[in-house]
Amino acid sequence: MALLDARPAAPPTLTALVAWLRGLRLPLSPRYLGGRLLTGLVAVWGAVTLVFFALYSTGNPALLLVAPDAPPEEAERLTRLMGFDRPVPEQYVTFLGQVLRGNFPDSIRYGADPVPIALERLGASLELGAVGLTLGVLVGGTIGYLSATGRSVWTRRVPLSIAVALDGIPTFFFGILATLVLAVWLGWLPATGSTGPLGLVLPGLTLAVAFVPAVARVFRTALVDVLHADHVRTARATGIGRGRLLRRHVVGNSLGTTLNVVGIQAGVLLGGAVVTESIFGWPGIGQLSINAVQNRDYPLVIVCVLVIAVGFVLINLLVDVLAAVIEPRLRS
Amino acid sequence: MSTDTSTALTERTAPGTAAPTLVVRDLVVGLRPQRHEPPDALPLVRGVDLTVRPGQSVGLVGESGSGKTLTALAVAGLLPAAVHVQGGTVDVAGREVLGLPEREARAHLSGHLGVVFQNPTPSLNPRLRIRTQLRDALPAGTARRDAADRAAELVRLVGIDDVDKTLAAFPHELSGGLNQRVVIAIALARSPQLLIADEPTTALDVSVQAQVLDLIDDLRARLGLGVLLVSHDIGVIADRTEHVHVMSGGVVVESGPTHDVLADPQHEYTRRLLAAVPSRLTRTPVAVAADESPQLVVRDLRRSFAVRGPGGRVRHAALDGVDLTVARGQALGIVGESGSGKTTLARIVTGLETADHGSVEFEGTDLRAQNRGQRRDWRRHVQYVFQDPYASLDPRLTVAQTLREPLELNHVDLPRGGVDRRVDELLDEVELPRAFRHRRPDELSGGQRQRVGIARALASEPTLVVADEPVSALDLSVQARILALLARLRAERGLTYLFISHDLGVVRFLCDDVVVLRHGRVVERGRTEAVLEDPQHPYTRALVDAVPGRAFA
Repeated sequence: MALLDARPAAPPTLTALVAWLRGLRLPLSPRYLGGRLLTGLVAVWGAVTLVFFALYSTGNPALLLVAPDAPPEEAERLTRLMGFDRPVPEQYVTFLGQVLRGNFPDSIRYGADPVPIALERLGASLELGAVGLTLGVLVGGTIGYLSATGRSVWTRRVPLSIAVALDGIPTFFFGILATLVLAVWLGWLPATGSTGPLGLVLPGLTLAVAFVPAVARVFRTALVDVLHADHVRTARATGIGRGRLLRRHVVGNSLGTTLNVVGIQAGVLLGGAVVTESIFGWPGIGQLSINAVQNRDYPLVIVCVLVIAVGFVLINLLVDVLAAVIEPRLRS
Repeated sequence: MSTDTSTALTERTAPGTAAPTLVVRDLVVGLRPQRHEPPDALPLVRGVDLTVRPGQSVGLVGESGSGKTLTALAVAGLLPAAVHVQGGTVDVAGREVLGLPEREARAHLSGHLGVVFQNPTPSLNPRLRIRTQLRDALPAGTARRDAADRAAELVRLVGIDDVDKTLAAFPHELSGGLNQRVVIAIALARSPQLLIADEPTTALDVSVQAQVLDLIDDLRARLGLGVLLVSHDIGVIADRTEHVHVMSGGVVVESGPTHDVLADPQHEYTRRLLAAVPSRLTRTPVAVAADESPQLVVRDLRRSFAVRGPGGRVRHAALDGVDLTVARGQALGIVGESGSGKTTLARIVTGLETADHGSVEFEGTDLRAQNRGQRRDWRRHVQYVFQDPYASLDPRLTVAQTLREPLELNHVDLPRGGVDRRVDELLDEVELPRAFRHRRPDELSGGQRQRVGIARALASEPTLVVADEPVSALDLSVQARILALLARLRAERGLTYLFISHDLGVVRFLCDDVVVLRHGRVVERGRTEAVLEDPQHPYTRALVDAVPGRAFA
């Protein structure tokens, strides 16, 4: 997104700004990006609305706040105070106003503004997600590459078989196994609760294992398709070396589909790494949302959903830009 | 592998002739043996001999599966992984390449031989600019500064005027004809002595085809290139080669000077192949009652599509005011190049597409004013035969299921046994064995599939058949049989044909009248013979002139 955020120090006029944006030679037209952003906003609105009505339909959160033995008047007072007795459309409008202003009621559990809480956890999630994604893409990509271009049956079959077998192992089991071997028996890495760089390795690895098979398979299929493409034959006829042929004409042309899969996985990571976060006590936003739901901490739930939805949209936008960088046919 | 090149050597040193750039002797190409399978009994190419001299153009002609492309790829060292050379010698520019280590062979071949393939646009890397691809193709060690000049020079050499724009473009921004010129430029980048062109113009329009073939001829004369031209098109071979080898079933059945072979074929297969050329097929005239009311009237039909171009979205008029009248029992040919709007017209007439403006009347009723009953009748009476026999049949359905569908829809009253009987009759009618009813499309050849496609159209007892390039994906001999079938069905059933084709020979065989479309407008219409013999519009004249093999036909 750096492409979009970087602005000239002081654009004298709007036309100058437009000219400057043109000068950037963005692979995608600003109009296209604007359109995508708008679609993204609609998606965020849809997600937040869904969550609002889901929460509403599960009952009055005020009842949870009062002590079990408190008199019914107390519960009623709280309900009125928090606005839960108003008609649903009115509550919804109030709620949308809060979302637009970024001004949410305090978290019920933490008694503080939920936005900083969610953002802090988002940072931890992004850190873990980046490590997991990078590891997964590197390992999965290598396996896909070997299985598509390997010269012997062994390089083509063995790594891919291992990756496919990994796909069958549940995340929690792999996480526990990895902890047992690398932390408990060998003592190379801290087991849980550490936030230092070393503490990232085990959860990152566990997360990566979930990506490796998908990335490996998609990349392999893309590579095999491109290997049989006519233009690869043209390039071979020019006497280009095998390494250069694979790099320039095969790998480069196979990145598009793989990128889309990685993009979807990256989005899922934002809120869906709950199992890994739980095993390693990682303070990510996935864990935070689950706890918030369990505590019926509805302001926090809403903020978590909002943060995750916005993150999803931004990641998709980034994927679209990268796809256009890779694939010139998408630019027009 | 045989190292006996004595024949090649004597030929090369024969007095009065330049040393050949390509000598192939006894080439055998077969499937690589699989570990778990017994070795295949018969190689795919057996004992091919070829010689190409500098400045000479040698043709390799045959139908699909004849081994002509495998032969060309074997010479170029570009065989697919499952296939390999099993024997023989290939001498390129004086050096035997079979038996050389892979790298050395590749280096020698890439320095002395350029290759041009069938589909120009997919033959270029979609991700790289033309400039980059041309530079990559230059001999290793070309200096950076020289590379830019050399790339521009190559683009000019292949007759592209707008050098800078072409160099900066991506392949998808250029037309197929321009891309094929770029592919030729890439082939010429290392100053080869031999050009192998595998169906170089099959995917192109006739007029572009003529230009590309002219270019190859011109380069051959100017640079003294030897050209090995692989084609299924007898016309192209007749016009562009001095020497021809006719291949069938993996062997060369006949070879000799092109003129002699085509004028006086010795081998039975060559004779059959030449007899299948559409312009040589003998047609049986069908009498059409002239006073019949028109069955189909098309008035001022317009249709445009939004096309994304370099300057944003633009409207492209596929049909720009077309008027047509088709009498009952008439066979009307519609010819034009890609983008002329002929397929859009067919789709609108059959209701697969709607027009922006204008009207289509079937049996006197406007399509938009039909009541339910008329609409049902129209659906039944107008049937479509598609171009691609592979894609137009549902791969999961057997032949019987495919044919039963329209029968059950349109003849609700037919008893079960009646449907089965009709399926058999339809198979008889398109000359397919009845046992084929249980087969699925992947168990049929292209010609057989197209017969099923025709039977499916006939199932609802149509009176008007719209056929969009129904034979263009088929081999010559298969094409001739399908055309004969279409002609017979028309005579027997009194069908009206709206027959779309880019091939003037095919139209001449099947259609009494012809309409020439260009850019969505009718530029000429009339009796087929008259229009093709004495075209009035300059575009028609150019189209007729561009058809290869006129001297031969």
